Amino acid sequence: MIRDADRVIALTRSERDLLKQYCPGMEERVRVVGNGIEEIAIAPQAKDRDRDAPIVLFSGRFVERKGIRELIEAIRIVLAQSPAVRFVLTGGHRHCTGAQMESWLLPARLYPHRAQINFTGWLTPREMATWYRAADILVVPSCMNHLAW
Amino acid sequence: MVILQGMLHGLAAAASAVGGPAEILDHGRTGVLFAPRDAAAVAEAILRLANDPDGRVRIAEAGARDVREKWLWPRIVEKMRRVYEELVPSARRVITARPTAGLHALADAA
Repeated sequence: MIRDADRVIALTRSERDLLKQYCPGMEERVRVVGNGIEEIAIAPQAKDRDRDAPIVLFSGRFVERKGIRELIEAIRIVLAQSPAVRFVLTGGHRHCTGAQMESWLLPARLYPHRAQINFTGWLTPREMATWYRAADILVVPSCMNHLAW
Repeated sequence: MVILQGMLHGLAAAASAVGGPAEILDHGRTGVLFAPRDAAAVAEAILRLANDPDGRVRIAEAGARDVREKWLWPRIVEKMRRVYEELVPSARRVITARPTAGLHALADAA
């Protein structure tokens, strides 16, 4: 099907490279366009944020390819050096609460920091927007080479 | 796409240097990229942003500008239109004039 196409639209350059690999000779017909995003109604203000106790946000499924294991280990390293940093982990496994995600994922040695590691579970877009407004840093530790998007 | 949402909301983004994120973020200017599958690298990137509030705000503001210049739908639709135009050079004129004219013509021919 791909070979028959006059043009193939790829989301990323790495997706284009993947197409090249599987369908040699296609590259001249591949165009990288990407996904767009909708403007938000009100842009948040930097002053809403606490400069000295920044919030780090992760959002997504808690699976290996999203880098969730590396993130949990990174939280330990970060808090050992900068104990004021706060973390919010939204998402997880479908139909699971934040508390369930915490008990499944949080290692015992991070229990002393539980108050500043917030597992929210899955959120509505409106709830999610609240965390986007409150957070300072977004972390995306995915490890999928071609399909990380 | 989480990265674009974060940039739009003025967060300083830190991501593995793979796939979409690596193509969206300009390391050190609009975000921070780190090696994938490496917890120490994730921690280092977070600490770099966490411990430098001014640098963090600079990166967040550059990212918020960049995402609006490159990734809002009107820009993407324009890029998409150019791909279709490569195949149908007159696509723009036809679509602007009468969106369904071509389809009616096909139906009549059938």
